[in-house]
Amino acid sequence: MNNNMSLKFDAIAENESFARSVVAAFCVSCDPTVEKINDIKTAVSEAVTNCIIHGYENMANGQILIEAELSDDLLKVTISDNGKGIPDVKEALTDFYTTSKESDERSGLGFTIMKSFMDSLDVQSELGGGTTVTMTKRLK
Amino acid sequence: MLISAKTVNSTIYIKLRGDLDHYKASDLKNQLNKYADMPKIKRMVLDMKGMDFMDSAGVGLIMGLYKKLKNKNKQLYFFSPSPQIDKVLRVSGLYSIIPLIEQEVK
Repeated sequence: MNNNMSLKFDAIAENESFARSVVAAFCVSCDPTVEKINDIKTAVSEAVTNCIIHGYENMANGQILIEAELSDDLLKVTISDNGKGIPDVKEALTDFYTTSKESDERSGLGFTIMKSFMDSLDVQSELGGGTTVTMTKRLK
Repeated sequence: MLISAKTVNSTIYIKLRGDLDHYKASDLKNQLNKYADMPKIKRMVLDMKGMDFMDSAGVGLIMGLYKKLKNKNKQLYFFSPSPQIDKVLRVSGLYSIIPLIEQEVK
C-alpha cells in the first residue's frame, strides 16, 4: 500500500486534536493495531503542540504543514513550521528539557514521547527559519 | 474536558472525560486547582476511565497539581488510565510519585 497526503492548517491549539486524528485516520488503511494508532496520535500531538507553543509562541499567525507517506506499511510523517526555530536541537532533545517558565507547567517531555512512541525521530531546525520534525513507524 | 467530582470523607474523586491536550489543559487546570484548595480534602483521585487521550500537556498539568497538593500535605492518585494514557504516564515517570489505585470508585 503506497499513499501520500499533505495538510496545511493554522497553528492554533484548537487544531491539535484535528491534526492527530487526521494522521491516525490516514494510517487506517494499513490496519495497524490500536496501540500503534495511539502511539502515532500521541507523537503527532506533541509535534504539533511544539509548533504552536514554541515555533510560533502562541501567536496564531503561522501555519503548520503535515506531510505523510505510507509505503509498504511504513509511515513517514513530517511536521513543519516556519517559526522561530530551535537554537540547540541536541539540548532540546534532552528529557525534561523545557524553555518555559515553571509557572507554565510544561513537562519538557514532548521530544521524549516522540522518540519513545515512534521508531525514529529526526529534527531539523534553522533559527528564524522554522523546524521540521520527521518520524517513522512500521505499521505491520 | 468534562469533569465531575464526588467527595467521600476527605477524599475527592474526580472523573475526567475526553481528551487532555495543550488546548484543553488550561481550563481543566483551573477546575482542578479549585478542588485542590478545598480545606477538608486530604486525597485526590483522578479517575481516568472516561478519558480518550492524553499527551505531555497533561503530564505538565498533573505535575503542577501534584506539587500544589504536596505543599498542603495532600496526596494525588490515578485510577484506571487507558493503555495510551498508561504509556504516557510510564514514559513520564509520574508513577514514581503518584500511585495507581486499584479499587473501583463507586
